Amino acid sequence: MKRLVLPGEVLGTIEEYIAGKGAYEDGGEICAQLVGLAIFKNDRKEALVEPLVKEVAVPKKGNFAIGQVEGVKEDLANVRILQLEGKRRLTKPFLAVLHVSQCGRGFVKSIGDAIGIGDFIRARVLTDWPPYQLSIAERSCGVIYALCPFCGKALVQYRGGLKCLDCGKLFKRKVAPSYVIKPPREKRP
Amino acid sequence: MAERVIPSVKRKQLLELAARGKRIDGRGLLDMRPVQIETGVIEKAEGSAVVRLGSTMVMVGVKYEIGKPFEDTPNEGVLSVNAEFVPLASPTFEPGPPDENAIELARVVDRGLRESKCLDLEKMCLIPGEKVWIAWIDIYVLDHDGNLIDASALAAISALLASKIPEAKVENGEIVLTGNYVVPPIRDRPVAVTIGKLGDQLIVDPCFEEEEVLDCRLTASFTEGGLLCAMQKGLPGAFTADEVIKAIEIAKVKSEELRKLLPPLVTQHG
Amino acid sequence: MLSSAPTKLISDDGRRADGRRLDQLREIKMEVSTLKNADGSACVAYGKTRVMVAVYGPRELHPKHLALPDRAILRCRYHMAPFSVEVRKSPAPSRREIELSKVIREALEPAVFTELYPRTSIDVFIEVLQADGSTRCASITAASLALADAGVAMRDLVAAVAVGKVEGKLVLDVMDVEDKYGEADLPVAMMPSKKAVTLIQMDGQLTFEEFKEAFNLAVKGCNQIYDFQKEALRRHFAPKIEELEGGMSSG
Repeated sequence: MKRLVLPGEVLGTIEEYIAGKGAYEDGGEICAQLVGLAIFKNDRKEALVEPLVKEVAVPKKGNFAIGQVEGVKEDLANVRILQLEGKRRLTKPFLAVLHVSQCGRGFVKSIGDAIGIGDFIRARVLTDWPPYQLSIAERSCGVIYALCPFCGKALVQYRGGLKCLDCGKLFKRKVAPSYVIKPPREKRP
Repeated sequence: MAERVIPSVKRKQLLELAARGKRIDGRGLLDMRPVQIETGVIEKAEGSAVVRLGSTMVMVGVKYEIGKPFEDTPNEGVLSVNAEFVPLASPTFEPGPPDENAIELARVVDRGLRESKCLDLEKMCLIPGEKVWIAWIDIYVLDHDGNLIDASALAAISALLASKIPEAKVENGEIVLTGNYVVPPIRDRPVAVTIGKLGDQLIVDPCFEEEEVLDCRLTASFTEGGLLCAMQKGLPGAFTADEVIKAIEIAKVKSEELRKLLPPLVTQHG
Repeated sequence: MLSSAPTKLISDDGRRADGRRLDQLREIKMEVSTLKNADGSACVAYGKTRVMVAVYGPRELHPKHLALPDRAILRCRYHMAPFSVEVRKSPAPSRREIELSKVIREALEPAVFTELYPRTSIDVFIEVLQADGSTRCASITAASLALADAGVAMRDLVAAVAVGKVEGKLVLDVMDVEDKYGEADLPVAMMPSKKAVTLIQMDGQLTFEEFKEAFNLAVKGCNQIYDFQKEALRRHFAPKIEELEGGMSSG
């Protein structure tokens, strides 16, 4: 049974249900917080609201974020979250931090071995509250786009790191599989 | 989805599309988005219009007020164009006095109206050197999805054409309002068209995502008779001389298409 | 456009200057999700009073030192378009607009679960496009719709209406002439399902008995406005149920 409910609408009483996501308890009643569909999970005695509105774009633990590295200080990088995957567009970036211990599955000696200033990264959000902490340790995370700090050209993936095709310099990075510029196919002799 | 937040990657995508004659929203390079003009939307204003260019929405209100003329033009009424980038229209707009973008927008629209001489300012003089009509044209950007100049210019001339001015008589050096409203002295219908440059392609009516990566833009205003009456190049890039000529040619054709959507020019009685 | 003062605001048979009965609202129009850029938006008209509201957020707050560790801060900006009134209004914010921004914020805040979004801001931008009385009430009504549209968790919608005293009689949904030439103006905002009053202001003069009667009329009016709000949200969101369910079965 599904019905469209609006904020403030009564879903049931606290004797019948506990308030799930999108619902709250008020004076013995369970009410909707959001515009959505009321869902009653009788097995778990839970009343919740599945939103029909676009969900708010606030970082939550477990989300994937796309961000840009703003600065690096010792073991910590400041990252501006520009987008949260699966959520609506952010109208302002959220600030987050990435610690060296979250830059790889093994031991990473220096944060500069994983990311650089200006890099775009895909990262997992680790905390529900600010300051949001990020991790790029898992395989799908890491740098997705970076420019050469010396000549400004876009870097390409090269043997687990990045390479500037213009000046030939190599950079250590934790590169994500979704890195947006693929290396040009090498011509066979 | 990550590509959208990386400006240089997005620019590359849009350039590749443009090279194939395509655009991000499926339009051809020289297609406008759907244009909708509605007039008489604000009863409290003497003239008003809402223009929608795709998702871009601009409202213009015209108010006529009696005031003092400028000292160097004692026999002419005053045209004053202002633009407000109200913060509901875009996450990039902040509350506060108009910034350089809002001022540029107002001045480009102002120039198109003024230089076309669409308002006969001499007919808006009541007592030379003392009392003239001031036409306040307030541009209100409500939703920003690019090409604010064309939308605002279209809304401004639509609101003017739909406006009524209070009838005023001068009796013994005093101004008496009769309580009637008459057609304002409008004699032209200027239209502005903005052409964007994306790599080596020219596009019409850039949307917000395109504006973010444009090299530069050129706005040209035309009178009903096809005369160029105002131009403005914007953004940091450069046009070649050939591109300038081509852009103006395109703009002229588009301005004629847009003018067909405007309210008609009503000639004054008497 | 200039209008002259009417000689009589209430006719002998109890009709108002625009033909309404004393306890009748003007024509009410509401629409949600009217703007592309905003996270939530709504457009509300009480007769000729027309208000557009955009909500941005919850989002990162600047300057950061304003952030609260345990909840979001709600920011409101009530602003009138220069062409919204008879004599052109300067677009710079006036003292009146600054005060109204504050009372509107305080009328909305009890309805918003700010504690769910710590250290963020929820920005509510209100533009009065045409003013014909009760603009703060239309603003609150529209803002709560825009907040709901933005997916911000709320205890209830907030509905607002003004009651006036005109030529000795109490009238619902005050329009500009009644405000200007009437004896009192009482704007009230409520969370109707919670029976909670979140805004009350008054200017003019009322006896205590008149106040009680006026307040009851305002409560009745808020409930009517609330029905319009719910209808507007249902109208906008009901078609999305099919999309959602279509998406579920195909995905």
